[in-house]
Amino acid sequence: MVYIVALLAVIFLGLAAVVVSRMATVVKNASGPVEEGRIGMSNRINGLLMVVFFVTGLIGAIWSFLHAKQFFLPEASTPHGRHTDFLFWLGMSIITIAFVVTNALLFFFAWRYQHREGYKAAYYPENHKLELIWTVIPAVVMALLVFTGWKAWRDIMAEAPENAQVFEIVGKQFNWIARYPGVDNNKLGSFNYKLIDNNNETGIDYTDEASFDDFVSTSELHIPVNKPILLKIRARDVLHSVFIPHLRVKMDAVPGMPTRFQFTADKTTDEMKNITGNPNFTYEIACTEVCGQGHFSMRIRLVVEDEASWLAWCKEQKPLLTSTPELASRIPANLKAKAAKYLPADATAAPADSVTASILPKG
Amino acid sequence: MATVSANSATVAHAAEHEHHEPQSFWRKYIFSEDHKTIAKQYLISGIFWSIIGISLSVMFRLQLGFPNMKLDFLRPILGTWINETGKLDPDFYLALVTMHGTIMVFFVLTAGLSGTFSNFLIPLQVGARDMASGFLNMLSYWFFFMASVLMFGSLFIETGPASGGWVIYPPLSALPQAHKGSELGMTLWLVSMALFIVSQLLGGINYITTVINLRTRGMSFSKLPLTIWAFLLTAILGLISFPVLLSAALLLIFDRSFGTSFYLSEIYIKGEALPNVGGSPILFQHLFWFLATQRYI
Ligand SMILES: [Cu+2]
Repeated sequence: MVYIVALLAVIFLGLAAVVVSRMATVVKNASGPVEEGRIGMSNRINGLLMVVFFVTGLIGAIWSFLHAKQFFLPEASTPHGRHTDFLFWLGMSIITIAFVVTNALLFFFAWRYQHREGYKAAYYPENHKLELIWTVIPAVVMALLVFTGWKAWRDIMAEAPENAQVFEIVGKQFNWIARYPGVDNNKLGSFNYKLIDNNNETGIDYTDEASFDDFVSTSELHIPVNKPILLKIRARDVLHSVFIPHLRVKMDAVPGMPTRFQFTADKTTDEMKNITGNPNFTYEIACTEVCGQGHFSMRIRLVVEDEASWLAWCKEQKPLLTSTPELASRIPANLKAKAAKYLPADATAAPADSVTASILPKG
Repeated sequence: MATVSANSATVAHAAEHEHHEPQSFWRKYIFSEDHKTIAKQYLISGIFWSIIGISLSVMFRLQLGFPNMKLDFLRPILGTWINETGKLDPDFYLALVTMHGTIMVFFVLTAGLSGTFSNFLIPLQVGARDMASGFLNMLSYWFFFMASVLMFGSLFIETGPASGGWVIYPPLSALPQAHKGSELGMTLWLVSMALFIVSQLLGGINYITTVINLRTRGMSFSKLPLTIWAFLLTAILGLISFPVLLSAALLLIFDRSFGTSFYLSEIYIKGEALPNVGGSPILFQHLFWFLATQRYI
């Protein structure tokens, strides 16, 4: 990475040198009749101020960068995150070098080639070789950046692998709800927004037997480390956006249009406590799309742990059906038997609410 | 520098063309068709808007940069928007951000800068006596003025101005029950923006026509000053993309007021599952950014 940046720096400096030497010859060749001193001290002061402005600006920018460094995120906890970070800093370096060099020349030239008695500007309409150089090099660099960016995007957005562990996260005003596929069949049941109510905040469809062991949490999302994760994303009311800064994960949650993001976290929460030196460190899933009054505080904790303790934690959780037996009335008669083991003995005896169960289309 | 003879020649020349009857105050300074006067009107409105836009940003940046700062001294102006703890009300914070963005992008940069400089410089630099249509030019300013009045008025209503971000993404902006700022403030925002777009289109047509048709003798396109080239391209881009924003706003007005589902689908809000299905919030984003990407440039 450092080598690439250095190489690019050399190319840009070389280019700049070509421009400078060209300009110098042009200026040398152009000398006209001497005019009486019309231009006083102010011209020289302005020329100098150009250089002062550039130097102060540069120092200010460097200071601000170094000062802000303490607030930067630690190294990404996902492979794709480290890759996008690399691309970000690569692009940033190229842009910064080009910006500093061109602006240095801009301000320096204003001082160096200020009006002098006896000098006259030369008419220098074109130089094809020079134009070719300063067009082709940036074009090639840009093309490479776009190509690497496109490749990274394609990899990140690719289909999740077969063995990916699936979770669902649902955004609403103003919190996230995590839904787990449950330990018995490890499958997320289907959903329908018309089924949402206070008992069933994510609209789980209990005509689908895969739903029976699903459980939900509004405080934590637990995921296993070093295992591909497929996060299915939904929104209930308005736009939200899943943002896990430490994992470099960001995807909008759109009502009526489920989205997804696949990633592999490779540092557990405990490892991050050591890395950051902060014993209270937690990963956070925030909302990063303005969603109304409580947007600023919309978040849920993310816990990354090794697979064994993750599984143990999952087994401790109660399926929504168990904690909210009222939902049993939504189970169609033919599946009652299968649901029985999640329900307290008396709830199964409750009469089936056949109306709710039959009007529902498959989510 | 100028000699007496040159001066008198100019006077004689000017006198030849003075066929206008003396204009009333209203026609000369208010409902003027003169490009320079209109440019000044845009300039003054633009300065007014930039003062408003910048002071809004100062308020939310104070809150953002100094979270513990007591902002009670703003209570005489902002009233209950400053809550009991001396901080900005969260709804008002979003309103500030939204209105700052809207004002700076549309009312300052688009109308204030482009309106002022295009109107002032195009006739002067292409060698035309005035814009192709002084009347359309006047209409353009007054549509902008009406848009300004509505947008400014929306700052003072009880539920506050639009506050879903300057991009006003639905469903947040489409559902009054989702957000205080999606009530009357949003309606005023949309109507104001529709008027604003009409103003931009009238102005843009005029700029383009003037540059193409009213160039002075010998002013070929290749000799056109770069500023004029920039104004021309800006006007063409505006003419292509503002109608798209208008369509986005219109569909949003339909969704808000007439029960359509262009942007709404499968929404459960405030204890109620809405009947709308099949719409796409992403459609709005595409329509919006068709304009806004070039506005940024
Ligand atoms: Cu949100």
